[in-house]
Amino acid sequence: MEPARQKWTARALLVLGALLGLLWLARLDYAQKISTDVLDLIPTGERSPELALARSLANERQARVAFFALRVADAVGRERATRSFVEALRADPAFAEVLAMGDTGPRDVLGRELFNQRFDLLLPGWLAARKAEYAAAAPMVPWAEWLAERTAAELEGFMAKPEAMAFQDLVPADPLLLLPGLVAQMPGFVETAGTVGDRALVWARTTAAPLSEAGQGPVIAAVEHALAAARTIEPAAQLQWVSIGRFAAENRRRIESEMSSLNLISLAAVLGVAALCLRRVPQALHLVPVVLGALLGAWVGTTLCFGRLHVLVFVVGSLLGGVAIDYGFYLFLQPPIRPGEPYRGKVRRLIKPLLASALTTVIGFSLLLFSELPLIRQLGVFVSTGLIAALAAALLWFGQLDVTYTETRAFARARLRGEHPAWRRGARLLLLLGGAVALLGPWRLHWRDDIRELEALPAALRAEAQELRTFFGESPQRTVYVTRGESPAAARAALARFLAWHTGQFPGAPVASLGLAVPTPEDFAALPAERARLGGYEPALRAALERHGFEPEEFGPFFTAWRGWLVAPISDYDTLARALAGALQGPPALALATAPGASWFVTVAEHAPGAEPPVALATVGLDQLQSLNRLFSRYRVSALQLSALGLGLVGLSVLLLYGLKRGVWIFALPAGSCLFAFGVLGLAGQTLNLFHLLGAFLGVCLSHNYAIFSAENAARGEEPPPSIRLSALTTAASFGVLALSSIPVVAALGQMVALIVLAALGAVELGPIARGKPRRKD
Amino acid sequence: MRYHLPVLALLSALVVAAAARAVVPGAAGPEIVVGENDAAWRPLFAALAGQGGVHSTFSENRWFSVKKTPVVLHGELRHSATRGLSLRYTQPEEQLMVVDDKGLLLRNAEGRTRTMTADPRAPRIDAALLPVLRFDLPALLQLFTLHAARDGEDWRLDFRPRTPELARHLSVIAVEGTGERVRRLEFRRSAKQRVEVLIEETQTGVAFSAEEEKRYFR
Repeated sequence: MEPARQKWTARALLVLGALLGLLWLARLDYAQKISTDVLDLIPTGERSPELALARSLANERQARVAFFALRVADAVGRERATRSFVEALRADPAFAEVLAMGDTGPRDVLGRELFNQRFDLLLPGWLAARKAEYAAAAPMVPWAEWLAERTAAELEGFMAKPEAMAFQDLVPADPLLLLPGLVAQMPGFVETAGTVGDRALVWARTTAAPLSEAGQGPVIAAVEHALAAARTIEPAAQLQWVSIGRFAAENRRRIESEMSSLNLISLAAVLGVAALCLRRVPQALHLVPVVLGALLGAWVGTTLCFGRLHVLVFVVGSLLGGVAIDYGFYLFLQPPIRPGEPYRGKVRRLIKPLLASALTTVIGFSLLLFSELPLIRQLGVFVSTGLIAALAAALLWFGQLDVTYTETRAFARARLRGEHPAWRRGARLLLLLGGAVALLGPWRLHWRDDIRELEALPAALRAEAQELRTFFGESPQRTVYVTRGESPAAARAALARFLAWHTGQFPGAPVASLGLAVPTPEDFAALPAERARLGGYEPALRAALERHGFEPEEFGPFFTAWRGWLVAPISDYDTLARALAGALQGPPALALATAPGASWFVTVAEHAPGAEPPVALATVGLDQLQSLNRLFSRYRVSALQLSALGLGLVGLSVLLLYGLKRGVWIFALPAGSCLFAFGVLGLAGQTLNLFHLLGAFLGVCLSHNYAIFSAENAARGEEPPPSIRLSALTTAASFGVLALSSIPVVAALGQMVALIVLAALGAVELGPIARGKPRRKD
Repeated sequence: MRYHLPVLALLSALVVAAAARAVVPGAAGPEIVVGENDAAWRPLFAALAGQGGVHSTFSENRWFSVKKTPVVLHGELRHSATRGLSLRYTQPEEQLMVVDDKGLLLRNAEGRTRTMTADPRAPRIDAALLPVLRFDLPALLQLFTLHAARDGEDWRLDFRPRTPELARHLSVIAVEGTGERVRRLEFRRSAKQRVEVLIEETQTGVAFSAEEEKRYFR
């Protein structure tokens, strides 16, 4: 191919690739394609039940709850401002439900629904308990009479209890004490106060899901509007509030801001280092298309491969600039071996190390496709496709230029000679010291994975949220459990088993669950037969009440309802449970779900989290954070296994390409640099997480390139090429920028890669000095 | 017998007079409005509010619409300015009820505890006891209108709810006493629904020990 034709072909391919890529990206619906939801970092088919539950909860009304605390010093002003705030929120379509805490409306609705359905919901359990007592006592009196006497005696005892005053209006309609009995079964039920100090508490539920745009922007606007309304009454009113939507919006804003700033700073740092080291600064601009081509290829590749991507991929993906520029350096800084060497000749000479370094890295990262974690899979594709695109872009870009070589400045090529014994000894000492750090430091490493490190939320916002949750009843001395089932009946049966387990594990610890308001399937199934045996109960109860000093005629409301219920059809179990769930409002509505396939009951227990319920109880502690952290630790182990396998493949490919002796030397550099980086962090007492591990993998692949190019030059009896120095410095610059990220995991990744490439560069620089003379070609 | 008549007459007169002195005003007095006619009552409120810790025994009669006769309970009352009110029922069964700024706490003989938070806008009957026993006039006047009557050393205070919300639970609280001693409280909803607390032996200025505070308060 003639050079002119080669140039035009390269240009055409570049333009075509860029156009196709940009066209693809322009067609994407980014709101649908890119997620900021932390739960999207978890596999959809996650096998651990707590995560499956966390996923389902995130899309239900529980996730739409917002807590507010309006702070006004004056009590009267606070009440007026709160009313205005509540009214403004209620008027906004962004909110489906708004309640001032202390508003007894939801509690009244719950009480009314339980009262109306008391015979279907509460009587089955009441009857079963007394039936067991009757069977145990085996009295001579008939069942209905025994039951009536028992009822009247219990009622008499109840009237001497303090709570009798609260239930005195209910007793004429509920002498069986079904509702007071339910309340007594739930000693752990704690009402949230309407105010805490000078703060009025408001509970609300948003209309849209919090992770959708409609559940964020409009909600935040509505809150701002409501606060303005409150301030027209109390100008000094201050608001604290928390909702998943607010967190998600803030998180997204910060991540997006990081994404653009980190990408720009990273690119500037890379180009800055390049400009500093190149003799002709404008020549550094020839590296820009390589980086842009890599990013374009990575974006296209990942968006083609995945239906939905997490935004963190693109944040972390900003690191690609520092890696992709390597190929530009290797091509652009390699001088021709003879004057007039054609570009094709140069490429032919360099293609083996270029392909070796690119493909081994791609092989390593491709293994991440087998990870359980979507983010890691996405990163694997992002880096792999990005590197292939970078290599292609570099080959094509320099193939259409007239000048395919640029010189570095003298300092970028300057090398210390190892002839002087002091330099030699110094270099050996440093290498020995590095070796000691690499061998001893990793033993001091501590690993800890915390999902909060994936977020970019400021500490003040977290503290505000924690304080608000405390106002609304969250406490370290309280554990929330969720008991699941495919149907309400299955969930209720599991709840009965769980409560029996809980009583054994945490004796005396009060619990509260609305599930107790729903009969167990066994008790409910026995109801029709039991009802048929209650025909004589009414006269027997009248007589027993008379004997115990009651006025039987005062119980007219009960006897009327009782007679009606005896002849009414009994609804089926699921309909009954769903009717209760459907009638609830406000916070009680969040305590149970009766959807087919996703039914569950919440139980609040007054004790600190402790023993985990066995899997057979279908119950998990709703300490999602702990669950997720545990899970992330599991993913780290999985990523470690994959990384080890990937490294094994990289090492194997090097051995195949370069033979045993050279291959071992080549592989020793990245492996040693990686151990050194772990050693430094271990000795520094740093706690490591999953992202340090990913960083280590990336760092090894990058330093592996330096080892290959260094070995290629060493084989020709030459010193390591300056492109290694530039490549390492630009990589360190771009990852050093990432290390400044406010997202802890991104910072971890940046820190790790920067450390490894600098260690590898150090080894490449110190090696020849320590040897004392350049290695001769074999 | 001649001598007996004057003696009997004297005795009768003394008995009648004593009986008259022992009966507190039978009806509610005029409404007390702060700044208008409260001056005469402020010393009583100040004295009652400044009694310090109080320990009394009491009997409680509860009238329910469904019961023919009142339910009678006995117990001990403790009141601390800082810890609130503690009612320890000893008969017919052991029960503890604590009313304080956080709300209501119930504890049975087995030590099982239930709590309910305070709702300042609509206190339950039991929760209304706290401001009454504190004789905190400003707090009481936010919730109730006050009617007061006095006959010599005996006095009677009637608290009537200001809001319909509160009136649903309570029609009137009556507090009766002699001198600086509360003798009877009544929480009335209707003739068939009321609670009467008869204060018996009372000690004022009591300093509760740490053990007592732990056992009888929240």
